[in-house]
Formats: sequence, structure tokens, C-alpha cells
Amino acid sequence: MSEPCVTPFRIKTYSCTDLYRQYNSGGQILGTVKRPVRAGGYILRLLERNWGRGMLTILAVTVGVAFLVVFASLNSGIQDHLENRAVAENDPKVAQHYEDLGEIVSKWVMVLLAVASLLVMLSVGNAILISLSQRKKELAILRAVGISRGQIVQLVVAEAAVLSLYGFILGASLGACLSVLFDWMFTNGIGTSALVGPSLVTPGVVLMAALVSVGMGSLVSLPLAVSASRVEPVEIFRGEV
Amino acid sequence: MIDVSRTYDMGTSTVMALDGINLSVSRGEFLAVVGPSGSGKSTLLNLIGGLDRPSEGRVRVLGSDLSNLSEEEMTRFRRENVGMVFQFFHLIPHLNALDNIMISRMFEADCSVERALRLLDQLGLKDRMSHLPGELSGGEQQRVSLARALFNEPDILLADEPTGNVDTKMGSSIVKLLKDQKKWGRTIILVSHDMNVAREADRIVELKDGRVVPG
Repeated sequence: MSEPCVTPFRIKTYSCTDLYRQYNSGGQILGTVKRPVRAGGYILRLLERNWGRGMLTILAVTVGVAFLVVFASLNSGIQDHLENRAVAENDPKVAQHYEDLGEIVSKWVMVLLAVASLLVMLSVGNAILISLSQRKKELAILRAVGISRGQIVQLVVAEAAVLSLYGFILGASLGACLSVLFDWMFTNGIGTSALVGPSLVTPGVVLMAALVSVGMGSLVSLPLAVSASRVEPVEIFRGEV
Repeated sequence: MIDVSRTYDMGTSTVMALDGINLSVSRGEFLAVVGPSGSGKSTLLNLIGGLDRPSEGRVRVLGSDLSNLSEEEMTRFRRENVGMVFQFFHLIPHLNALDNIMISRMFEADCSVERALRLLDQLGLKDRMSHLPGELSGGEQQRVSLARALFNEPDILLADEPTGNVDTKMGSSIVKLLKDQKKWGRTIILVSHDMNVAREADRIVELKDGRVVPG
């Protein structure tokens, strides 16, 4: 019994031997644990079982979020630089040119941000869709033992949020590193752009990446979760002879 | 059960699984339902357990008319009043034995790990608590399934062919464990096609073509 237990009721890992020893000695086993933590244990076990697919999703979200952070921080650097040039410029025509250029860059960056956001949403949505299609029987078992539809929705959305959160943490870290690298390259004259100012990863950029990954990831899983929660308990018998 | 029928729409045809069943089970009774395959035994059990709803008629369990319950009420009814044991166990594959037993209380504020441990102990599974269902034998999985059914201390215990996937010795042990539940005042309804198993019950009801065979 050396293998650790992780119950749906707490994420903390503990030894089953210790647990059983406690039980035998009449000690207090576990107190009440808050709700999200317990559901969290269930989701972690689920992700552990499907680690390969989970990793692929996390990787796709990581790439999407990294793009988001790099594009957004580069854009803020470019906009700052163009704004400074426009203010410093004596010729109003050239100043106007800088402002127009800023707008064009901004629009293209918005398109790239939208593509990156779409990548994040599709990755999470696809992962949840596949996961749910393979777990119909499991959801029916949960319904049969008394887990409500609303609770199933919570589990599925939380699963998407956990996947997105991992992707966000990795992607934001990667994006921040790349932004710092680009900033260093531009300030040291490496690269082509003379139009780029300091590309800073601002709290706003990180917040936007978090909203897009965790927020949109959870949101896109919501209709899938609602649909999955409609599974009838008798589905557990499907395929049985 | 009053005039209960259950039909299934199979596209071009309709299958009548239960046809006008009238059945009454007393509190604390151990009832065995027998009959050939396709006689409607499992359908009957699913209706009593609130897993399914009748097409016609009324199912009254513990004073509640299940036909009138909302989806949420039916879920609560299953969680609080019914424990089910299935032929194919139906355990969650990625959760260990201990977690599987407590699964119905995942969202509840009160959950006694101690009660789950006591059940594991009573069912001889104390060395298996950290094992996944795939690492357990059929008999062990069925005992985990029984522990899960008993975890909420249900008034009604339903067992659908509980000995169907275990060897004879383990089957006898499972039936004995079910029978033991009578001393807690639980109503036990067991479905089986094995008459040796059914004879352990207080009363036997035979189904054929979705109807009760007159005794």
C-alpha cells in the first residue's frame, strides 16, 4: 500500500498505509474539505489518466498564449515608438504618416491576436469534445450514483479551465521570455526594426492572455458540458449483452 | 408499481420491456426477480432505482411517486435512497477503490472517509484501497461496487445480476453480504437468472415477456 491515495475530496497526496493506520487507531481521518478542491482531485486523476491528450492541448494553448503575449507586447512597443516619433516630428505630414502606420500595425496585430485566441479556443474545445465522447459511460455512472447535471457541467468546465490554466502559465512564461529576448535584440541593434520601442509585458497583456485562455477555454467548454450532462443514467448499460 | 409499462422506440418498431406490471415490495424485504434474458428484469430494477421512467403507470418508492419527480429530485432520490450494484460493476476507471466508494459525495459538504474505510474493511478490501478497478479481480470490483452502493446508507439496495461476472464462491459471498443488509432494515431487490441465488431471498417474482408470471 505504498501507492499514494488522491481522493476526489482532497488534492493532497497521502499514504494509504498512514490513512489506514489512523483508521485503526481510532484517529480523526479527514475533516470537511471545500467543494472545488474535491472536484479538483477528480479532474487531476482524469488528466493523469489521459496525460498524452492533455499535454497536446496544453501545448497548443501554450503556443497560442505565447503568441498572444508576444504580439501584444510587441504592439505596445511599436505603438509607443511611433507615438514618440509622431510627437517629435516637425513635419505634420510625416507625423500623420507615423500615426497611420501605428493604426495599420495595430489592426494587423488584432487579427493575429484573434487567430491566436481562436487557436486556444479550438484546442480546448476539441480536447473536451474528444474527452466527453470517450467518457459517456463514465458520466452516466456519475448520474446513476446521484451526481446532478449541474455538477457534471461544473466538472467538465473545471477540466477545461485546468487545461487552459496550465497552458496559460506555460504560454505566458514563454511569451514573456520571448518578449524580453526581442526587446534585448532591438535595443542591441539586432534585427531589422528601427520602429520598435521597449516591448514590455504589462499586467494588462498578462490579464488579457489569462482571460483569453482560461476564460474563453472555459466558455467554449460550457455548451459541450451542458450537452454532455444530458446523458441518461441508463446509458451505463449501452453495449452490454 | 401500479400498471407500469416501459416501451422503447427502436425506430421502425417498438419494444415493450414491461407490460402492465403491478408489484409491491415491503420495507426490509429481500426480493429476487428472476426470468429469462429480455424478460424485463433490469428495466424493472432501473425504474425502481430512478434510473429510468415508466412509459405508463406509476412507480411509488418510499412514499415518492417517481413519475412526478423533477430531474434534480430524481438525482437526489438516487443519491440518498438507493444503492445499486451492477453486473459489470461500473466503477470509474481512473479512481482508486476508496475514491470510487465515495464518488456520490464528491460535491457534498459532509463525507466520511472513515465510513468508506470501514466498508472496505468489512468487505475484505483493506489492502486494495489504493488500487484502480483495472487492478482488481471481478470479485473485488463487485465488492467495491457494493461498498459504493452502501456508502450512503441507502434504504433500498438494488442488485442487477451481482453474481453474473464472478466465480461461484465469490458469488455466494456477495449474496451473503447482500442478505446481511436486511439486519439494517434495508429493502433488497436482486435480479438474477440463477435460481440458486434467487432462493436466498424472502420472495421470488418471475418475469416473462415483461409480465409477472402468476405464482
